[in-house]
Amino acid sequence: MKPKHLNKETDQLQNGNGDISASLPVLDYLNDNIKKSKSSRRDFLKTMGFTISAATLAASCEIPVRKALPYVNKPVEITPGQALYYASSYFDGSSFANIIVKTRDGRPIKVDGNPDSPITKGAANAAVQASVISLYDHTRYKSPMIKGEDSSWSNVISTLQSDLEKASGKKYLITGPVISPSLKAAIASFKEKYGVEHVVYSADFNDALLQANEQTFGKKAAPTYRFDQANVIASFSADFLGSWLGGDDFYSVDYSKGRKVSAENRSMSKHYQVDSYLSLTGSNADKRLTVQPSQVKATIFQLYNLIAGKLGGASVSGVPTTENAFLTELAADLISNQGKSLVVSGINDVEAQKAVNAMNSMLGNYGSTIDFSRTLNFIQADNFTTVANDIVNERVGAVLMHGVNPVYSSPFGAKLAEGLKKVGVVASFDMAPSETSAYATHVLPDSHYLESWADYEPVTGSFAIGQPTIRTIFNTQEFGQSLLQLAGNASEDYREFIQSTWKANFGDSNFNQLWTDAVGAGSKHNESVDAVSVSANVGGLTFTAPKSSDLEVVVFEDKLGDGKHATNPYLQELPDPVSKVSWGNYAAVSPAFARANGWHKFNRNVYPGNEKVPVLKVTSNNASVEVPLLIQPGMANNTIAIPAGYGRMSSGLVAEGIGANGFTLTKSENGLVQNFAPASFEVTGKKEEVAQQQIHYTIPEDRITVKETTLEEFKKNPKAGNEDRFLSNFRNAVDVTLYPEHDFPGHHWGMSIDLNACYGCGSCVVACNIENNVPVVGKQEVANQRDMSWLRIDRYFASEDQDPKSDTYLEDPSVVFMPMMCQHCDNAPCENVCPVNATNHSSEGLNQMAYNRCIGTRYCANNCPFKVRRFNWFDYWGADAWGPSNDLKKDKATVEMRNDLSRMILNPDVTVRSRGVIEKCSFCVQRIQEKKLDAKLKGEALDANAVKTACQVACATDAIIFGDTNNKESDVHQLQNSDRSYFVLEEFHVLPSVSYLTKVTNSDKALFNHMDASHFVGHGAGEHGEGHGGEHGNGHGEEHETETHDDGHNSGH
Amino acid sequence: MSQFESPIREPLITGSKTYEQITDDIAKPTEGTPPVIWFVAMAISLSLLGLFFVSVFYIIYKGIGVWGLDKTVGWAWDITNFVWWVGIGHAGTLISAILLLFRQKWRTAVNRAAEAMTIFAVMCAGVFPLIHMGRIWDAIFIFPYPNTRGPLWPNWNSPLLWDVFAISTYLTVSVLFWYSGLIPDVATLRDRAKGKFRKAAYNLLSFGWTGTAKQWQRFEYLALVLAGLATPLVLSVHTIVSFDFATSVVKGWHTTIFPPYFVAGAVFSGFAMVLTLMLIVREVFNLKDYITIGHIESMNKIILLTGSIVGVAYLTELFMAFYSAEPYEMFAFQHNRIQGPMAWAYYIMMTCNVLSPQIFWFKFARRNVVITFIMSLFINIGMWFERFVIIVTSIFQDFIPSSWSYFKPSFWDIALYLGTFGLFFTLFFLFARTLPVIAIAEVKSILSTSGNKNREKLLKKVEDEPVYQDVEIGELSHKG
Repeated sequence: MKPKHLNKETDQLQNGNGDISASLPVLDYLNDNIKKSKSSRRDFLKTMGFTISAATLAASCEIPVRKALPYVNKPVEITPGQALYYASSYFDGSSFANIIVKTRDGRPIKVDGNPDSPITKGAANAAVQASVISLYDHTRYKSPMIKGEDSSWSNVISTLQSDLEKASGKKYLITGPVISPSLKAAIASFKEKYGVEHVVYSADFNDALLQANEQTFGKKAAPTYRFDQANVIASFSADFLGSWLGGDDFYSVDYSKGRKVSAENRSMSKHYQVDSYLSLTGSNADKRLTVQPSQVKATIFQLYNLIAGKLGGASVSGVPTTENAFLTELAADLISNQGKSLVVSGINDVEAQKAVNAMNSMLGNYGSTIDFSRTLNFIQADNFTTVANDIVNERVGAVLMHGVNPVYSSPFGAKLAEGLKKVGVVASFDMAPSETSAYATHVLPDSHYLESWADYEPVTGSFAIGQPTIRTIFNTQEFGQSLLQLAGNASEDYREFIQSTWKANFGDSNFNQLWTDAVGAGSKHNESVDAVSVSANVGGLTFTAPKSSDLEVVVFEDKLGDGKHATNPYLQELPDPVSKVSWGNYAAVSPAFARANGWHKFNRNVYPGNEKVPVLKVTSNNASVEVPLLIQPGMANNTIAIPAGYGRMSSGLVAEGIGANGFTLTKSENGLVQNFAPASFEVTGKKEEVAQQQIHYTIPEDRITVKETTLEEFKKNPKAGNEDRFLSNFRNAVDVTLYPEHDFPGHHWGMSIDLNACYGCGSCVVACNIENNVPVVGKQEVANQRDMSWLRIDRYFASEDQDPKSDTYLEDPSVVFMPMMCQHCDNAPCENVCPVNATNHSSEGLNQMAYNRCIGTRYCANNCPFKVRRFNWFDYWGADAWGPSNDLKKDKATVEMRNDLSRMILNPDVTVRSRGVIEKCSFCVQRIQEKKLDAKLKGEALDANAVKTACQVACATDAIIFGDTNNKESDVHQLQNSDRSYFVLEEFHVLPSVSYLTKVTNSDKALFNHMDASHFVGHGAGEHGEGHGGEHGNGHGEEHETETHDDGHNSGH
Repeated sequence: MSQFESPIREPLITGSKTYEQITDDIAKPTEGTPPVIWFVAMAISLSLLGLFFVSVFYIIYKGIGVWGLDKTVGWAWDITNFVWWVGIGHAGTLISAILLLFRQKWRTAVNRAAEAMTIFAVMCAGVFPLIHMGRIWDAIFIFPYPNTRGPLWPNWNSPLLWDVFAISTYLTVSVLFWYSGLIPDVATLRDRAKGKFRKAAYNLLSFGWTGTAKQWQRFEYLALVLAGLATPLVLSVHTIVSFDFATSVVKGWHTTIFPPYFVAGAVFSGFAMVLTLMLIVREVFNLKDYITIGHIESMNKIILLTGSIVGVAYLTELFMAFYSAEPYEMFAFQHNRIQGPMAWAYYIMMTCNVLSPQIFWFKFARRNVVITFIMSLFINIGMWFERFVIIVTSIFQDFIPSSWSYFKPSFWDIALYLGTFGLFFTLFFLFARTLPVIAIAEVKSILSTSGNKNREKLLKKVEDEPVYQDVEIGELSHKG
């Protein structure tokens, strides 16, 4: 039978009403009318002539042509639009991570921690996350050079070979820590050929720890520390969540294991910290003691004497004997947790490190919380003073350097620079120009790690592979390759060299399989290593008090490390977790010190309009730096703390002129670089803006933004600190809004954030910025309070002393880190004020932005109680076709980020926003969509925890959990309905989708607990019992379901 | 309009004018060479207008990042200026429409200029919502037009959308009202015009008005109908502008008292601006016989009333914040306004709007031109700060302390604001030179009843009444 519509079509054809008409009536009309027409043929020609020339004129305006070339032969594994993931490794000299690299169409665009890694366990700190952009840094060396002239590789190699042979005097190869077995082999063969001495240079102040271990245990190595096994952690200026011995990549996961609590697990570690400034680690401590930097050593010995007194060790004489309640309590806690405790110290002092070793030894921590059978191999440091002396005294004929910048980061940088000028052969293998490589006669640029083959053994028994994920962008090659060529193995390929090293290590049999597995996983972990039991020689401890002073300065490494990350715009823009300062360093002083000097009015917590602060000239060790003032709660009094790593001079546009070099204030004593010293300061009279992303840092007493309780309370009642939530029923209040409520029949996306697991590192912030193409705006715009981060980590201080005028106010603050992003409110204030519906609600609970529709009234941002909406004040990315604000020359950073090479980092799945639109967290909607499509293709229901946002993946401590709250199987559903769960500002019935878990502190006081406990007396918070998710009255006797939309829609779509 | 009026009422027109004199006096500024001061004023206005065009161009070209706004303070001078100008635009319609319906004859002297001021002020106001958009080139999205995107309509829940309709309706009705009232006067100018071009121009503008009885009848009807239409608009426009804030969740914005409070504030600021302008006009164009001290006193009384309403509203807000015991609300009023880094703005507002107008309880102040002029400036400043206080001090420190910020204007914030003064005064001075600033026909309509001659005649009659034999008439009559 013929389908009906076909009949119709035929009819139409027959009747002449179809598409093709038998005759065109218009012709008849034209024939008649052309004759009558007044317009002549000439008129027609004139009109046509005009039209064509006008069109030609218009079309000849220049339109930029952008070429996109398709593959001629498409590689099998590449499907345009599909991301590929490769396991690889990151190592920058002081921090290591097993990583997974995401590439799109041949471009690496994202780096995340590899969760299968046995050593870093998925951690990838902010520096690792941000390292992708350094690949696309156009200020890198673009080709090998001889005396500043571009050259070819063969020419450079042969020239350097002959120059090295000719060079008289000592020859040094200075590198950062080397943990690559292959690189070690390459160095060995190179050394052998030219008689070069290999020296490891590190600016990380770890030398004393190695020396102390050598003296105590006979092993010049750093052991692994197991923070998850420790019930009591005592840290003396060891910023183990920051820069200490590998930092957060190694310890954050373990540390957070001991810190997380739940109704089932009501115990947590107790963290004591002795600090002279407020470090990231210190801000997570349960108890803090602040002392001047020179006094940290004394506290270590005081503790030692206390412990030795109890456990029968020899006490050390000359130690101050002042009663110290903090240390007494700490000693008692340590002694009652023998074998379950950990004492660590970050000061570069052999005596102190030996005392720490002695304490750990007395407490029986070796073998339980400290393991020498797996050592941290990247902790290496040689005495650099002799090398520097040789160079300065012109005893050196050749210096070859890779990955080090001693001119910038060593205490004798200026002298070294003078010395290097006189060295005949200075070869630099650096990737990018630095203060040191500026003196290089030969430049043999290393490839970026994402372009290189590498192998590593960061921890004994754990091997890792670094594989290239892109061909070299510039004319560069791996350092190892250059060494091999210099050593005369010109034909050898570095990858094959690595394989041969591995063959030598792991044997020939079945090597192909081993290699493929190792490259695929990015690592090869030996489950068992030879157990090393150490015997401690703890005798002969001595105490020499360091030089102290009324005013001391301490220099510390922050996110920029020893300055190696200063050229990274993402890291410069990332605010310091504690000071919230980006783009520059500062002189942090305590509020009391500021008041004593009359700087109180520069406390922007109180006087937010006072943007410009005085610039201080801090002088120490005959050197001085000029940095702006920062009033920082939690600082030791009479102490100035200055972040190092800033003030890079010859390092591209991004870092140049940002801050001042703190390393100049350090001093080398007996070969050990001390990061603190007596100091003096003067007020320069200059004023400067400090680009702080968060100005106000205290929460008014009557606000419950952060909920906190003590471990003691929590043990009694897991709802502690969160009682009000079980008395009220904000979430299910009815008839409180004019607008219809949304219905979420399928998924409902939500998030849960554990305030106990978040330690504030900011890795998620960088991950979010890179995943979602969030622009870098530069110092001036950050100072203008216009940072664009979709995800920020709010950092608040609380003080026992509530009087802001008192000297002890915020002297010993309690700190909380609170990740804050779009809360995806189900009754969102932003949505109903948008005049054009540019922001609206999805049927899956997402508060979504249609950038194309946004006209930029900013009402949504004003009306957002969480202030998470960001406005594109300028065209930061160069996204507009219309270019006027491309000439935004305000900031070098924005100029840098909009060049074509930097823009390679853009995630093609996420729209790049133009000027004039609002943007905000989308809950990584592109990732949700990807997983939904995957499930759909497979014909399966979406797995409960399949979707992971960028911040969640970046968060090694699992503080951020995302998922479908409608799916009872999901983690987020469990967490949102747990006793600790609360929603910020839920009393306004905005119905946020992001819940927070109450912070639990292992101290006597929960200073953030703003709820009047007496309020709950008689209401019986506990009466509601253990069963969460039960039914609670809403105060009017009516009963409602407490769980929203949980009727089990866990199907796919 | 020839109902009985008490003879002891102050005359609304002094100087014993005849109808011809009225025409001459009012038409004169449009005819002869203007005084030097006009040229000076025009030169200043034109340079500010130049600044206006430069800043509009620059802000659109570079992006509104050139303003001092930040991630926390999304609106500041832009919306402050918008609300301020809209508020000023309130007096015109109030005078023309509501006072017409209430048969307040004194309005005839000021309605023309007030209406013109309304139109120019609303034009200035309209600049800000446009320029403050991030993407002004997509401003069309705000209109409900059929489109191929679904179709996709604007969000009818958004007060910003209501604003678009409220303001555009108000502007349309105000223009109609103003222009229809102008027609007879333009015809008068046409009839007096000398030059050919001048005659032709006024001829075109007068729509062929001949002054027949039928035309006058229709004219009166139209005035009444438009007055009826405009009256609700006087209330609705600023009510809807207040919804821009009242429907939000921001503490200090989310206030049910806003509609009446905003309307009162608008009338308050509108009258202040009318006074500022009329005091200058009557001086420069020598129109003291038409805009008398009595007129000024009447307007000052309205200022006192609306100022006090505004004052009560301020205190009510404070009380409600205290009485609600809502921590965030209380914070907005206590720590953002009464104390805190932006308290200075609050005190400028309180001084200018609530305290200083209290001087008008005294008759000498109400009738003193200098005091009135100074007060009108105070109120203009105070009402600007009122909007600034509402907008900025509510959002610069709101719910989440981590985002607290501060606001400082940039050069371009200030430039655009000054630029709108250029636009406003250029238009106003052109208006004063080309069209009668006082409604000639309407003033004439009250001459027979409210002119000083009639008053004196009536008083004479009263003097002759036996009951008043012992009374000094001078005590009853105002000497204008």
